[in-house]
Amino acid sequence: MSESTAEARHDTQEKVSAMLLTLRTEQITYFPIRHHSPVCAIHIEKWILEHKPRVILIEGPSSFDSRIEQLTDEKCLCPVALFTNFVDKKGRLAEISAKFRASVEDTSENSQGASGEEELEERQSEIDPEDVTPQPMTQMDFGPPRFSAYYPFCDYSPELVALRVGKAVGARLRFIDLEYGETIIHQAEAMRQVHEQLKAEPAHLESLADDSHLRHSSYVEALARKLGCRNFDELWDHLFESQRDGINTDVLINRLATYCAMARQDYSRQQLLLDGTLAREDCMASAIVDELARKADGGPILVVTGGFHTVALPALVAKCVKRPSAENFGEGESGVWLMRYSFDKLDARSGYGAGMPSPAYYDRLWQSEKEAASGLTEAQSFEKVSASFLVEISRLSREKQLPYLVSTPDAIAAMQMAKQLAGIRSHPWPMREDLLDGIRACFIKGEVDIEGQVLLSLVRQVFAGNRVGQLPPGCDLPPIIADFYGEAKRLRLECERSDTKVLALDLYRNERHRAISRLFHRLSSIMVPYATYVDGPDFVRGRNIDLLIEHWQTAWSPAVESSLIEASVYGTTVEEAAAGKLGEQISKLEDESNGRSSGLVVSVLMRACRMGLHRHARTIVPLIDKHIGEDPQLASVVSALSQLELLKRAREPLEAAHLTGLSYLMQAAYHRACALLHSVANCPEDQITSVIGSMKILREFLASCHSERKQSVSGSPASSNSQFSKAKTDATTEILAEEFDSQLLYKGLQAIISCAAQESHSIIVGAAAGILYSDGKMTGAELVSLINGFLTGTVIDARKSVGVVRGLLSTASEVAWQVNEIIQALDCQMGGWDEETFMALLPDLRLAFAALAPQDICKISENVSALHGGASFGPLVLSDIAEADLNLGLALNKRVHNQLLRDGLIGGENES
Amino acid sequence: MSPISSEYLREPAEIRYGAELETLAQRDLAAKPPGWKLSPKAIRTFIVGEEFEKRSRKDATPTLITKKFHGDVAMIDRAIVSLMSNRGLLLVGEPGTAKSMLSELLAAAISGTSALTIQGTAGTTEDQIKYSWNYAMLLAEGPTADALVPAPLYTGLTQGQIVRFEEITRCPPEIQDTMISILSDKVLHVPELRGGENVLFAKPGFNLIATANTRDRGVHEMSAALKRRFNFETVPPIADKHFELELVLNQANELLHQVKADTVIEKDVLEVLVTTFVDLRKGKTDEGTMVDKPSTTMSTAEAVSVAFAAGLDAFYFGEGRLRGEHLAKQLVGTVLKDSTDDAKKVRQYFDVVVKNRARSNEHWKSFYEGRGILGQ
Repeated sequence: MSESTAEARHDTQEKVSAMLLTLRTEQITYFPIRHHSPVCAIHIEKWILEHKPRVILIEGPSSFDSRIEQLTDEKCLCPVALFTNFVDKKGRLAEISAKFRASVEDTSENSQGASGEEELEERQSEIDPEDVTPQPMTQMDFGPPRFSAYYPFCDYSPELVALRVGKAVGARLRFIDLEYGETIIHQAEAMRQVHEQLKAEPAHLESLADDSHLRHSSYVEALARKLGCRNFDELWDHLFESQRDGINTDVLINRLATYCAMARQDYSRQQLLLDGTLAREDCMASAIVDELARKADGGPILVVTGGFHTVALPALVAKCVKRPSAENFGEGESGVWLMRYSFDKLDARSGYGAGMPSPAYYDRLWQSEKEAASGLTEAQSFEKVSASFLVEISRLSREKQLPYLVSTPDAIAAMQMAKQLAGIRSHPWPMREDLLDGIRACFIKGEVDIEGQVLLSLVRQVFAGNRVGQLPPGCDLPPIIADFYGEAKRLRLECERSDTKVLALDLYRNERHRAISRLFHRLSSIMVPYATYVDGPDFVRGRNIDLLIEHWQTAWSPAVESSLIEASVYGTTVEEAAAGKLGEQISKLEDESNGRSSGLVVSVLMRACRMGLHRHARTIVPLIDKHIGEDPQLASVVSALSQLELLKRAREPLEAAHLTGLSYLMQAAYHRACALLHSVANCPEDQITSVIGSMKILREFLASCHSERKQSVSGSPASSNSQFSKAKTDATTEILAEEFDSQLLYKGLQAIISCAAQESHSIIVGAAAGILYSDGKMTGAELVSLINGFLTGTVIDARKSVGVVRGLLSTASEVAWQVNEIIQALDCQMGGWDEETFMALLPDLRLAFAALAPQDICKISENVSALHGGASFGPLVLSDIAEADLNLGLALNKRVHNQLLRDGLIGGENES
Repeated sequence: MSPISSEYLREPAEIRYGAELETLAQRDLAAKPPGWKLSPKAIRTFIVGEEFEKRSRKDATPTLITKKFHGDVAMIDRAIVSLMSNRGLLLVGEPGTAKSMLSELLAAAISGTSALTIQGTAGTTEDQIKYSWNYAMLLAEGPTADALVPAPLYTGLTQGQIVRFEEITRCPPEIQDTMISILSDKVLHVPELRGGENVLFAKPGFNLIATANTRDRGVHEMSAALKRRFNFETVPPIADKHFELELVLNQANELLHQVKADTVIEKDVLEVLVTTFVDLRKGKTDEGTMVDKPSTTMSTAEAVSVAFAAGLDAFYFGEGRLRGEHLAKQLVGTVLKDSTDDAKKVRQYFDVVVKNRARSNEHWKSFYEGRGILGQ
């Protein structure tokens, strides 16, 4: 065993050292980089200045060439990004997925799982080749599938440094990667091919999908563990960033390439095929082959690519591979724009896969090096940067009045600790994690996860920064404006005149109107002042849900364009920007540590559906789950539950019935609500009404689930031929009663009942008993003994006695005339009260019986009168009053009336 | 784990790991902070074991440095550096997360002794922390250095050693605050003595490791002034479920072995317990179901004690084979201490999570069926 592993290790070693030899020849140097790594940038700069290459080839779609001039313009201030998109107008992907579906249907005739198309789309959204974040933007709306990606640059990005320095030394600059759209098509095609190969053994399908999630190389993980680093970023800093000057460029190239070659071993060929890596590398290699064939005078060729690709390129070049077949993109199918970008989006934490964390921090390090402060060594100037961050955080903690105000001695202690940690960890100066450790140890007085949370989120913000880049003059407008006008034209909206117009949108029957409504909702979410909401069904607030028509006021103004440009930070189309904004709201909710309200998060989901952002709504699901799990309020969990149910049932305007995870969330909310029932018996006074309301909603919810199951089991006639009614039946059959274990509800209610009287509100106990009784979970005798316990027990507080009756009647009014003993007991109790007690309780008693229907009241009064020997209560109207009293009353009435009239509290003659 | 062959019921770390400390001291060439027995790197190796440090091939010493603490290595780094600084180290975290063990290991490695320990209780007095008097001598000679009886803090200051203050927040705030001047000025005043003897300056190497439970009853607030003089480190519960399972299994077996109750414990059965603990601790199951966290701590130490008790139950009242029901029975006593809310939460866990798992797994089924009063 160990021998064979030793052999394998030896084998790998040989392979890697052979590869290293091919990286540098007289003619060509392959420079491996990590995107946005300062150390790579420094060494590339050094290398270029030293070797003066004749051409620099850089990873990135070749159409980026057109933007090199703007990118290297002195007035272009980082962070900026090249934005590229792909709109599949010719239906290439649909073609591939049709083929794919055909092959899947061949193999699995009876499985009704995800259709091939869905799965294919799914894959595309998850593929994340290093620096590309494709988002298929349209699924539900009409229009061709759209994808887009950003390639961000900051001052210390090795690619940008290579471009800038390369321009200065007069090198020819060229991007050599596949076009973005080509990559997407290759990925889809690879997906199809792989599935075709596996056709014989469909069991493989799942494991394949699993593997694609394996983003972290096990080699990297093992290495990090061995070196005592917590994560990849720390490992990177430890291995490479700390070596800024310690090593020469050749050693850096060798180390980085070795590291990448090892990491690459964890990826199967199939994985690389699926995410399009192999096709892209073929393309890059063929471009290098072309350059080598050119035989021009001048310096060598420099190839700058991500290290992961670098290690594969020399072998491909040696084989003279051909470029994968090129796509002809038609008008408007693909484009490249230079855009402003921001540091906080560049931060790896905000989801940019290839990023380094804390861009502001690394930028400050890079700038401090460039400025070369007088008389300071490099380590000293870096320490100065670290200290400035500590001071900044300390200052902000005081400015924002955080629970613990960081003092100057704390900052000194943190700096000292960072330096000493750097010493222990053999770093020439405190690295990012050393500094963060100093902060963790010295700035947090308490537990990291509790007292430290607020501070650490501040630290993340400060380290990430929020700078926004600047474009050089003469750049064309961001595509978001073109997108807006395109959408407006497609939906036949007025964009020429600035007078106000009112639109009435029929959400249910008119698909175009629905699309307009979604666009308007998106626009208002990104604060573009084009359309103003007037009225209509408001699903988010649950108002006027029965309305069919939505009214909007529209008016075009120049502010529309400028606010669109502002919004383009969030994305390059209106849809994308709205989704980005939504993402921001979601992450804000994520950061909120207290006051969790599940109702609030569900309303975000509602809002997403109203904007037609179903695809993006998915990310909210886990968040809702979390909020439900931590929500301490029964009422808000139940309102979340009923909102979710509304979503599930809502038809055209929300189209949310098939949203993934909805059923699961409903279940989670239901479980949570039932669990919370155990502790509502002694909730604060002001919540009693809402608790009882929630209990009723829960019961109704359960009842409706059960009745639906009965319907669906007996086979409801699919009478309507509208596709939405079909969707509805599908959706509701999913809500099977089994998923909502009614026992949980009853258990919760029983827990309320069994609470000691002193620790509970009798009105809640009464309400719980009412539900249990009317659902047949409690016999009449049990009910009587419970209620009697309250009415005749030794509890001094008479309000409790009445409360239980009030609660009971609010959930089960039939009890009043069905179970005679209760009225008897109440009657008996009333007899024992003195006048004062009776008057004090009268309001509660009236409330208790107010909910009953008149005939119920009549029945009850007959029963009560029977208790007293059938005696009449006497006339309800008193007529034997003296004339003087009557006159006085009339006069009083008139005066009151006049008074009210004068104060404007009643109007006109109609009122009396 | 080797059986303890010693005259002590429990050996302090410096004796238990004496050989390891000696090996490290011999190999240790790096600079040591003044008053320290080992260099910071060697101390780290002592605590996290040698798997992490590169060990030179030539080194033929048979003593292997074992891994004694499982968790964040960076946290250990920070703790060591804090002790080099002019601030004390305060280890916080839930009960049962091995804070005291960590403090013992650090003290043993830095000063060669972990015995200078003050146990914080509601009744801890200043005498027990600083010094008291031999009253016979005090009456006979008056206050002299000979009549003074040093307490751990006094000794630590004079010898330049690490002093441990266990559960500092259990002391009333006024007692806690006696540490302020000592931590900031590194000086102890003995006003009773005369001349130069009434001020005691700390020798290099002196520092304080305090521990405090956060989620526990009967703890006091700590003043902001004292907080400022400490660096806080949070010791988290073990994150790796498999490792925790291994640990619980080994320790339960060892404990059972000591009392000669050789219950057969299958890993699958014990996994039910550890999973339950992890779920309730995290507030979320592996399947993603959210569950309520009980207020009592679900520490690894508690899991071991449940497994041990369940093992005894199985040995004496069962068939000598640990089953889910034994665990459920013992869990009740551990989890349901005094909070009725906890009972609700655990009941809910059984109703929703355990019941569901019981459908497909016999151990979970047995666990569910043994839930006893939790089923009512």
